[in-house]
Amino acid sequence: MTDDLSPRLTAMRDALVAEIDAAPVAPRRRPGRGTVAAVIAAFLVGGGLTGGLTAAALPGSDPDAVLQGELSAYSRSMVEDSNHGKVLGTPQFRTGHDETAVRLRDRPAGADRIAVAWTCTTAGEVTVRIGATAFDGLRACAPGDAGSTLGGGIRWGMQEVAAGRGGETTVRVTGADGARYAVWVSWAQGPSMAEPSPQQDAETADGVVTLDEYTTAFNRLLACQAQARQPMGSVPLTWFSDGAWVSSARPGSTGPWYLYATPAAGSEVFDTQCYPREFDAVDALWQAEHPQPEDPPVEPAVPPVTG
Amino acid sequence: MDEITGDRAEWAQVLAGDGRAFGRVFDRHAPRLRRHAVGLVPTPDDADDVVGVTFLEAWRKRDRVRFVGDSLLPWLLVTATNAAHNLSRSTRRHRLFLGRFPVDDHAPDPADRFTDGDAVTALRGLGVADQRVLTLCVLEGLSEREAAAALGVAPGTVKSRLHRAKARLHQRYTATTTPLGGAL
Repeated sequence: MTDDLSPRLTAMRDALVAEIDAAPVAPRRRPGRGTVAAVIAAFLVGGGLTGGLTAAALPGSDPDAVLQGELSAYSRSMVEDSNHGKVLGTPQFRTGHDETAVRLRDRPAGADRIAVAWTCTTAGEVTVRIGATAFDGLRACAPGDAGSTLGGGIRWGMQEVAAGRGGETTVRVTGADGARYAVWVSWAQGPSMAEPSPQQDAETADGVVTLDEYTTAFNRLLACQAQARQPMGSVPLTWFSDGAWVSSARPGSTGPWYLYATPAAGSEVFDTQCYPREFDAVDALWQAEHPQPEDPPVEPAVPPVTG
Repeated sequence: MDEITGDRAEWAQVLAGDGRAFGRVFDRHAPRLRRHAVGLVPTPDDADDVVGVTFLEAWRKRDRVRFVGDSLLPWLLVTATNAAHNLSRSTRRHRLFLGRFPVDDHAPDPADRFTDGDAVTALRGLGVADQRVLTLCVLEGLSEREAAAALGVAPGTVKSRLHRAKARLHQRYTATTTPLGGAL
């Protein structure tokens, strides 16, 4: 295959391969003695492991190390990149069948949630609960059912847990119909979300959002983003009429809505500060009152070319 | 565990320190990434640099790469799009890496004509956020849900970004009167 690559790119490839071969393997990727001790300790202390913590679950078995790495990487990405939170403490990993209880002890400072990721390794149905609450979503799964969930068969969730006594929480995983599974559990800290501004509270107080309120709130969102140096540019109102997006109201049109792209760079500002503070609740009410077409055409109204 | 296949399986070996597995992933996707990059940067040599930086980032972020199904290609395409966007202001880490390799002195490669063509060239003037979502959803044909997995955002966010990106792309093509074809 390298015949297709230039000498320069081939040299880069070979250098990276050599670098990887020479790199020490980090402990998190090849579980060491400490990880083994943690898993064994959890097994001994956690008498609730009524089902199948198998010998294969212990680190050192490559397939399980692969699963652990996948679940860990996916969960960390979802907690930290997508939800702007933090993974805290020492995550737990198990493989099993029937029922498994994963006990998280010693809640770290700041931990207010539990993050869980799991995947089936054989067909069946898997349920994950924290206390009496089961995580939503598809439960029946087959190995490698990549099309059914995000992450190619990995299911994921994060749930708030009440602060207070104990500093200990148990996650229970149940496999039915012979399902075997792998599960990764960790303490986590959710993002610090801004509270709605007094203006937004006033706009939603009566449970109805007017167009003027929708527009005013969106302009505050734009101002907030600009102040945070993440400007969103000019975003026009858009209506839907006779199967097309249009830039002005017409007889029989629906809407309008602001159709905008959330900024990729600086999304944390948008997700945790500007949007919840200025627009989230207003937008939710407006969208509920003015549902967008379910299968809109691909071409929206095009703002006039400027410059 | 035999359901773990393709890039996922190779990457597990990469995480265990197997450079040859990294080389197999590189060989599998580098030509595709290069065809993508050629449309986004000024010269073919720049496209090589984009591919090199993309795989350097894959190694640096080896614990955090995202798979769609068993494929790493969507994540690599997103990273290549970012790298093309930032090439002129590459980080010191990238400059040190790229500076280790001699610049090719060669005649124009006929293969450079076989790029992703006008579709990718059209992306060149768009913002990187638009480029990423159009690459995944239009050029690669991923669903919004699959693209969301690659980008690490909610499917609704992909829908919103795609909507605006298509509008801007349409605007550009309307302005240049060049038809884009039926893909959009």
